[in-house]
Amino acid sequence: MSHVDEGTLHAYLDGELERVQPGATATLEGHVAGCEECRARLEEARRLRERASRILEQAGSPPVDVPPFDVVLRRARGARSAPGAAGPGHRRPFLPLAWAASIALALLGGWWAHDMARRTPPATVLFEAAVEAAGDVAPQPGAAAPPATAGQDAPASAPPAAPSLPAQRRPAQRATGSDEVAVQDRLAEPAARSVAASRTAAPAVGAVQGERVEAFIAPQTAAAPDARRGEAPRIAGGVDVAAPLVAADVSVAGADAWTPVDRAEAERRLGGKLILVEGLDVASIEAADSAGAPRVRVRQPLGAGVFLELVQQRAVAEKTAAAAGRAAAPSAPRQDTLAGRPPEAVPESLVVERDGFTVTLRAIVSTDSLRALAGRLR
Amino acid sequence: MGVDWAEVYRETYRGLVRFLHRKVWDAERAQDLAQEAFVRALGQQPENPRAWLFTVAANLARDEARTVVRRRKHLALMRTERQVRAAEPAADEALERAERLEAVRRALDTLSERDRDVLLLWDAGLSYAEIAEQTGLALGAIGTTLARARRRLAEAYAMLEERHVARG
Repeated sequence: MSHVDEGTLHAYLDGELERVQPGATATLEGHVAGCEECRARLEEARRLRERASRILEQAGSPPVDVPPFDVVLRRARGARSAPGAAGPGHRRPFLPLAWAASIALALLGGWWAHDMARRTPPATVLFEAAVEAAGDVAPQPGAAAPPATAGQDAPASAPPAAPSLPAQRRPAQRATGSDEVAVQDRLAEPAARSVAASRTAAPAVGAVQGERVEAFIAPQTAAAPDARRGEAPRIAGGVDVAAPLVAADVSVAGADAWTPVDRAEAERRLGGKLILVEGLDVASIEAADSAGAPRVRVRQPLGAGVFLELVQQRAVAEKTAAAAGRAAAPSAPRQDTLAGRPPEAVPESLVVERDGFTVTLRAIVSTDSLRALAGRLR
Repeated sequence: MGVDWAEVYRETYRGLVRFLHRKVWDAERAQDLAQEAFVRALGQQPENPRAWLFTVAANLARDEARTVVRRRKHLALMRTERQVRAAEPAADEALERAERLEAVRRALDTLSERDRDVLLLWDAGLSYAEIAEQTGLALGAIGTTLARARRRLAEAYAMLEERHVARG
């Protein structure tokens, strides 16, 4: 017998040789026993086979949560009942269903948006509710305590804080004096008195409104899907408010007015290419102008509710901003204003210079991870 | 004889997800596509369900690769910001794992599509006969194809490792 070819050796090692070529196993074993060269080749094939298996194992197996067979069966029945579905030539058997679902979703979305527009309180009130719900923001000078605890006319049985107020009534907080009386007159129940009491807090909220309201409105437009997965305190009435308070919204923002922009606009303002971490999605892009030095802030999701924040500006511009006492890249991370975050959740930051820009990376990951992310900046 | 689809599902689903995961590199998407393959199979009732399922799955994965550049990030560092301290080592591990995954992906990319398919089908648990049916190769050619695919994978991965070490 001539020497055994490599394919046969692999089939033998895979336990398939007998099925491929009945009787070949005994022949091969007999040959290998007397042929040193083929014995060595068999060992080499064995090592190669094991090596390849180990490499593939490096990719691991995804944790598979096998759904009940009934679920798939129901889907299949649904697909069959749809017109023109599920033939081998049909690459998209669910297309008609997808259309119907899209229309239904659009209608539902419209209804929901309309409902939200009626029910969602103005930003100031939402902000106040978010602050109260989060409960870890230092009180502003001159601000009154939360209504249910400090409001003199709040009844003892009243709900503990503003988030328990029905959302529909919150606009009353921004009403003029005469309106307030009218609102108070209309709202006879105890909760209404809490609304009136909370009016005393309005000036303090106004003092920080420009900065803080942005902090949770921006993610609502850009990163709401991820933010919603977070723990979301609710106002009575079903309006999510605090969930969009995504990490690092406030601490880096300073007093800048960050406005959402698209990538082209961001690059136009910077006068150069936007630098991002390759392989990560982009959740939001915002721009601000600090003392004539344009800056762009990008959030890239790292995982559920966790974002990498990149602040990019011209290398010279950063110095200008720093000279103006507005450090764009805080070397010591701040945590006091990150609502809802536990004290130990300290974001790391790292500044890198690339193509005439400085890019500040901030995320709640280890320094090594942040460095690895910086290595993927493109 | 009728096919016991519940049994086929039970025996094949995990392997199908594993196969698809190495094609689309996204665990959730792999599961979606595996279910889609079963839905189509149930509509078609093929005679050889396992081979048919993997054929459809390979087509779905190919479509996916054409239409989606990068649906999902490959870096999943952390679970929630509230578990930061506890999660920090996990974040490093996740990054390391992502790098390993990327290396395997790149090494597989160096193989021809046919070799890669054969290797991944074997890795997913298909027999030579099933692989032959799925790919259209002769039964006697599967061993040779697998031998070549394994050698190229090992060589490519070793090269990537060397580069990684050289970069520090």
